[in-house]
Amino acid sequence: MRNSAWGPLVVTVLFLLAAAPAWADITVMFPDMIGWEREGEPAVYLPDNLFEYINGAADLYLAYDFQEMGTLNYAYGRGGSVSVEIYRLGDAKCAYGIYSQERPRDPSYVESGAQGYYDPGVLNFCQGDHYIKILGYELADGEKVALAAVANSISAKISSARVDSTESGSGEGSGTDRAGDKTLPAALLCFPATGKVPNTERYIARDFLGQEFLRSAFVAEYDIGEQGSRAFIIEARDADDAKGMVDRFRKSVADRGGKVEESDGVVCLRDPRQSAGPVTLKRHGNYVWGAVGDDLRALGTVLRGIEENLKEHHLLE
Amino acid sequence: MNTTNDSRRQFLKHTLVGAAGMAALPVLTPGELFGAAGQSEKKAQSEKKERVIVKRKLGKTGLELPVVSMGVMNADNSELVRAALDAGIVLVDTAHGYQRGRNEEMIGGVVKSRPRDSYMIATKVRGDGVDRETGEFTADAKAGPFVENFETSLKRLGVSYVEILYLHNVVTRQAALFEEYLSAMVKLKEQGKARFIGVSTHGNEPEVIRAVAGSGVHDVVLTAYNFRQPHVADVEAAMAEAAKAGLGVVAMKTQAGVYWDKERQKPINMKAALKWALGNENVHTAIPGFTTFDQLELDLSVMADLALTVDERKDLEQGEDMGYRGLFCDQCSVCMAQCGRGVDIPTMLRSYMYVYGYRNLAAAREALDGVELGRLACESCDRCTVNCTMGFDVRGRVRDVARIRHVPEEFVV
Repeated sequence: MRNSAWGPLVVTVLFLLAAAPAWADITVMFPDMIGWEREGEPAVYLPDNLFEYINGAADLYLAYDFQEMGTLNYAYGRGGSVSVEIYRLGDAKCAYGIYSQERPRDPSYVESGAQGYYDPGVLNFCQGDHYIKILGYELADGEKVALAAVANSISAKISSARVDSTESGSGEGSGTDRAGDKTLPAALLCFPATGKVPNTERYIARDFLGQEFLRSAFVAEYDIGEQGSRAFIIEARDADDAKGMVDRFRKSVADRGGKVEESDGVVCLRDPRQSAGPVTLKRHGNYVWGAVGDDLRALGTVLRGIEENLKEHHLLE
Repeated sequence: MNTTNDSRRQFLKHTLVGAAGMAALPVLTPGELFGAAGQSEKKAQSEKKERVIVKRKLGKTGLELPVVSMGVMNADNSELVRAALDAGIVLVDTAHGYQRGRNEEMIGGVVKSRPRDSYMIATKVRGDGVDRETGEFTADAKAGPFVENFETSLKRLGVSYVEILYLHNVVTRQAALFEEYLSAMVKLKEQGKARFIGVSTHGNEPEVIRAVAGSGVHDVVLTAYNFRQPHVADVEAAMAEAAKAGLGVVAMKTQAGVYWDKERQKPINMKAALKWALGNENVHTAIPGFTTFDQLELDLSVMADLALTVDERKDLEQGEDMGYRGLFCDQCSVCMAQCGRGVDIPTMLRSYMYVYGYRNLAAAREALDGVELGRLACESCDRCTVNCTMGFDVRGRVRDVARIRHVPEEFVV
């Protein structure tokens, strides 16, 4: 491991020249842990060179507003080692988003951060605007326990870094988007449970439904209809922004020769390019929610459930 | 090159299938969702238009492919993949590692109801045991996990074979020809699980392309290629050699980062960038990573006329107007006579290109080692008389790259 930590850093220095990247932020997230020995110092990757570390997968991380990543190996005193990767994304939604993109269909959840899971050899979790991946190698004394211990140390470090940042006056805002937060974005709690396929909640950061103007959305799959269905919740900037999205969607479908109907505030769009079925949606305030699927009656229940939950979580005015 | 209009027939066929699907939908209006009385739906009308599909042969594989294929990595949208295949795209490109397998699973879901000969799949599997500084494989590199990962990819995709299996992200000749993985890939090809094999590269591309072109074993190379590549002339030369040797050449990153600036405020003309890449007939197909239906249409539309318009050409030259002159020094050496202090400028600029273009610190350092120390005179010279034929800021670049002489030796492997 002689040079593994410094080589990329040197290249980064050369590439970014006078830029002053905030890699100090990410390097302090790596805790000192009893029984674990650091192997060198964290190597840091920024948007310009992330692809050197994770190849073509970097594009997806960039779509989720990737800011920086630090990676460091720890040797375990009882044998084996872990490789820790800490990614900082644009906000908590993006951190959850990239985490949810990589979460398996049938995860074994663990109590780490806002949400995390264990897979043999891997423990991944998200917390605030961070996404943490821990890979274990030949760990003695039970891999899952060892990985969970590392995860808890990192989680605590992120939380304390957030407190330090806030106390020093450099913290911005509060609530769900700040590092250290261990709650999931509230919109995720608004998908009704009935018919929902477990572990399918995700956050799509851009070009939702293949439409640039829809930007991002929380989605969940439902066991409704022959092909299955998807429900979604879009958080627009404000009411005008939400209205603009719906108007553009209507125009886009109409321009394509699709069918647009509206009744009682519910818009139904039959887009010839969406073979999964019509898109039904509703809008209120800065929220747009809806579903894609062909069993409109069953999905109507889902839409009503989302609306009720948005109100219950005080997300709708 | 083979230009066809048979996509019209295909388009009409899919339109009819789509319409039949629509007819089977429940006839409920939005009002019915919420209990209001409804009216019957009418079938949506699809836009009908002719589409030109330009095809090229993927080297000695013999596969005839539209010049526009799909890089699926960024498209977390099965509808978009379906639309792409319906619109005439044949090859979809993914990787074992994308979204920890979900990308392959998504593609598998899309293709499961389609005839196997109606689409092609390329996937990439990384080799373990790579030294990140040198880009070379070490003794830890074993074929077993590589083959297991590929078998997992086949399961996720729901197919018994893929058209192309790439060794993912190769940056050196040693890695491209690494026996452990090469033998495993050949065996997978013999077993019929990968019809063709190759490597993907987006670093030090010329060396990698030349290595696989000369191997006699590889069929395809997937390489970064775009109009902004600092060393594009060398990449093109290597691609020409590869094509001549019968290798299929697939281009990625053709749209050069999407934006001109790091602040992502000045978008690149994507259509022009794709046309530029496809203007090179040694590129047999490209895999732009579109994520919207509009981008899909835009990318497909380039096939109507691959020639760059005057305006498109101007758009691509914007970067130069904004100061993005590129990095490739053609080593004309005119500068040598102009410099009063006799600095070996061509070598320094070559080193600069290695650092910022190839991202190869070792090669940059090696080039600098050949320059006499006493000649690094830019550091103390305030009057630069050099007028570079390519318009480079010679003094700035020489001063910049000279700094890597101060990087500790152990970091430059």
